[in-house]
Amino acid sequence: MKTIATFLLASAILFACEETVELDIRQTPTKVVIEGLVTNQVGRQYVRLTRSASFYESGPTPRVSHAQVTVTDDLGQVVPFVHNPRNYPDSIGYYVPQSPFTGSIGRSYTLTVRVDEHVYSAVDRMSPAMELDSLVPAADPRPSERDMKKGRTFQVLVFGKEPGTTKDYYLINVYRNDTLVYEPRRGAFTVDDQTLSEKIQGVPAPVNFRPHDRAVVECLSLSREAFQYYEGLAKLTTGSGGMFDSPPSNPPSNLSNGALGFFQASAVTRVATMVEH
Amino acid sequence: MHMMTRINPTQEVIATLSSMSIRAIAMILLLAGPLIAVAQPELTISGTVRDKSNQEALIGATVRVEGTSKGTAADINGFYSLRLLPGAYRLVFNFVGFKSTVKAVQVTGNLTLDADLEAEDTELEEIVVQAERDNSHVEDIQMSKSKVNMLMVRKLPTVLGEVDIIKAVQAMPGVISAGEGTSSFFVRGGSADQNLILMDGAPIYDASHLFGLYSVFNADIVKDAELYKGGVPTKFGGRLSSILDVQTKDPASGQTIVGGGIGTLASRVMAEGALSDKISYFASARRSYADVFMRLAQQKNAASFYDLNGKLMLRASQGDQVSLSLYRGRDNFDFDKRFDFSWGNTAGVLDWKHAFNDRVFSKTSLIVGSFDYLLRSEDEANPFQWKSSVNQAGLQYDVVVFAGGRHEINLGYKASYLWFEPGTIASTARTGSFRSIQMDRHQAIDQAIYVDTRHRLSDRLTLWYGLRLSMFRNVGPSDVIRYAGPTASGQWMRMDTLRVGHLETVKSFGNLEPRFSARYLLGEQSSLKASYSRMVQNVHSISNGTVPLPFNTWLPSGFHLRPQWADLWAIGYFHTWQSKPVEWSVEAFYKDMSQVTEFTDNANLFFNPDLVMEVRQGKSWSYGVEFSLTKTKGKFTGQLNYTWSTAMREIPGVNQGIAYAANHDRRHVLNLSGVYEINDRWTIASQFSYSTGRPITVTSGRYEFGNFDADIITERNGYRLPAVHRLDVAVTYTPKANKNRKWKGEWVFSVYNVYSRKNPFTLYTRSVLDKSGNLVGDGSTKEARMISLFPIIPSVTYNFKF
Repeated sequence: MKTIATFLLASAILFACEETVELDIRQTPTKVVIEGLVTNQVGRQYVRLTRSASFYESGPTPRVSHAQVTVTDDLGQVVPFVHNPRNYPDSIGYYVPQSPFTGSIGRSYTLTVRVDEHVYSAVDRMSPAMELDSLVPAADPRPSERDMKKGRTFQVLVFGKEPGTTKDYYLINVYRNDTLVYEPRRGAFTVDDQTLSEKIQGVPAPVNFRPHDRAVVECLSLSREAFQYYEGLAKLTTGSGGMFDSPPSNPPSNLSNGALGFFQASAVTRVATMVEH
Repeated sequence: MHMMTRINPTQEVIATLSSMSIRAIAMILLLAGPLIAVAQPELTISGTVRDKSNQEALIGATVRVEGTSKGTAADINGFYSLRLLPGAYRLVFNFVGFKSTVKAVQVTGNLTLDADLEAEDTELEEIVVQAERDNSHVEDIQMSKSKVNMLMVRKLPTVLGEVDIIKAVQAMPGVISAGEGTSSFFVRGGSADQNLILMDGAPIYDASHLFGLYSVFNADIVKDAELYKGGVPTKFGGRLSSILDVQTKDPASGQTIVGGGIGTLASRVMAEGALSDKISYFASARRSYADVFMRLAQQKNAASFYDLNGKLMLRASQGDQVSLSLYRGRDNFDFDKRFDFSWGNTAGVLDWKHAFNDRVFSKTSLIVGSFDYLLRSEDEANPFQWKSSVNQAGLQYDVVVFAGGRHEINLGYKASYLWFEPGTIASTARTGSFRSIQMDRHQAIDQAIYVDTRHRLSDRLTLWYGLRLSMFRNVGPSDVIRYAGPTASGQWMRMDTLRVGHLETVKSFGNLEPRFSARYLLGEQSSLKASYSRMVQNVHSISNGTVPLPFNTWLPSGFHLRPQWADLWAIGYFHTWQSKPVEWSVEAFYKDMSQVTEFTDNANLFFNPDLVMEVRQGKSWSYGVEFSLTKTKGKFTGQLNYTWSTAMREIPGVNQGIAYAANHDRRHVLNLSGVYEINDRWTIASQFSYSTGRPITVTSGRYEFGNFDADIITERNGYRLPAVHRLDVAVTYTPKANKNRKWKGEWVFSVYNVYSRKNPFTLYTRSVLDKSGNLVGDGSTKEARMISLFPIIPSVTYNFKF
């Protein structure tokens, strides 16, 4: 839809003009922002706590380092999370399990966060991820101008299976030389299995590569709530101004008590390749 | 003068029957025949009011009996009928833009009296017959109606040289333009999809060309355009807020005329003539050539549109007239062969107008119409095609009965079959990993039966009341998906599917729509009017943008969607000055709407087979005051319209269920237009418009999630864009016609947005970018960007006729 919107703007507006204006925005109270992830991979569980900032305030948002955080599974196991135990300067606001803990498929997890006198909680269930078989590099027949400029003329094609019988949602992470590719104007790459065939035969990953790049494609299973959250987040961050999109609204969070963000339980699968001629 | 004080028994019958039962309508239909047979002591004088120059019927021309309060208006065929006691009378014929004509007549028996009126601008010297003024403004019972003055519209400034009646509609009191870049308009707090636009009775679902730069109505072939925004006659229905009834011209029966215009962005040509002394025709075509320019400018993108109109008219006999009117128009956009989209309307109407006698007239119409849009991507990996359409075919039968001087009865029946194809997304790749998605098709049978009567109670008081029964049946074949679970939070699930067979009922809705108007004359110069109408809407536009676009999917009322309805109350004061051709009016309204549609917060709109679950229905209300001042005659003509109004919505699941200002809420709207004829060669015209800015949803803060820097939204439509205002000027130069040549031409020089105001089109927020489009710093510095569309645009058009 984004491309359509851009095209519409481009066409309708032969004479259009765009300029920066000052927004007269009322100050709103800051909110607690929670980003929680439990996976079935060892060492990949964390909760990040921050606060919101005003529109014209730039730079990193304030971190919350004094909260009490626990994750409980549906068997009654309680896992306390602690704040940045190794005191990394770039990990302020991050909470990790006190003792080794890995999630498993089919379990439900409950996050509880206490900040000052307020308690926020959320529940998410871990579904299976897509089965990924292989990743095959191939020359992109029509690379975008931007990719051409950067020499990224290769696609990577994903092969795998998707269980057609269940209704599933996925988040696709693509890593270029072990760095997560993040394009703020495209949003996260989410997939609703409705648009997928059962056999995935060479679907190009949404990111292009240069020769000799290392490519990794990762699939994270999402609950329906998590999918809707990412969809909402993408709409919010990629919106072209409310003219062609529906009016922006906060993504639907699973967190209670008015906290922003999401608590997500995901199974992870991955495939990797070196991009060669 | 009291002509009749005794009560006619048939009037009582009608008054009683018009109370609200369905059986009553059926009975009136049955009784309509016998009713007219009731003898009256008066004689009938009837005839047709036409434009002298081309013999076109003048719809709504008024006929007054001088020295009495008797009078009537010509119907859709230009036909009028009056009942008078034997004697000598002077009849005064009036029509906006035409000279008043007086005819003396001796009534000794039933007689026919036709009147051919002359347009005001055809003569050089002013031989204005000021014996009688056109007083229909005060005397007509219809309120909340605005007529497009075609003569004035042709003189007003244009965008790139094309005369556009929609622009004139957008300047009417109580109407709000949706802004630049769209042909949409909002009437009395209603959304754009609540306006029914008719071309010769066939629905036009989207009236825009080139995103509203032009409209589908080629002014060359438009005879009349009337906007009903309240007190709507019962023959109209199906939308909540307004009816825009556009009639194309009747082909002249004289010699062949060829005309056209060459404009900056589009050109048009039309031909009109007679095939025999009974059959006449016109055909017209218009095409834009922006695509040609774009190609010359080495642009890979192309945009174009065209319109084709045709009409064939058979004047079979004095009492029978058959016409066939056809329209097709389409917009095409192509982006470097990678991506293209198009939309268009098709309409066809076959009309048979018949006069049973001088008091009973009928019109039988076969109407077909279709609207569709198409999006296509030629992307190598995931080519797709998205198509959506709404189609209808139906029949309408109208009868007008002039039952004596005190009564005019309109009744009729309408039935149409509608079929909706909300969307098919087809993967066009042979080995694509994408499936085709087909959204459910829908069919419906839409019927209405209606009757209204105009009833003159006394010299001062006239009532007009009626009832419309609309019956809407959503029918199969259809697979109705039923959902379970909480709808509000979006956590619903598909439960099961109901299979409904061919023409079996999915769901049916019957609604009674009472309509009522009253006019009380305060004197010769002024009147008070009041009206109430209920309107019901059974087709719902499912649009995603905050501003109307052609890509609207239409869905019928059915298993999941309920009909929308509106109650509108209006009162008004109407005044005409005795000594000057100036009239003014003020109207106040309150409108209460239910089940208006809106997408829920965070709706998933694209390629969604469960789209219906993203739609919420709720209430909306609006109120306002409209003021209008018009100078209709003289060297200077002009109009001032001012509207103060507000429109709110409260819908569960939207803005967390809290009431908010509707997208079309604009507090102050002012429109000024004037035309000054300097001499017979030069005319200068200008138009000024002002409107409060559009409400818009913007962020109030930001937060981090993963790598994303997200906005916080606290309130729907909580921010208001700056006001929109603009001045346009046009000069028309008509060179002295060479008497030996048939060729007539005129030059129109237009300037749009004279002081080049940067009017806000939309506003969005983003992370600050440098000149090459890369994020500045970590991307956390945000800014608001405002887009404005058209700066000053001059244009030249040459119009010709031979």
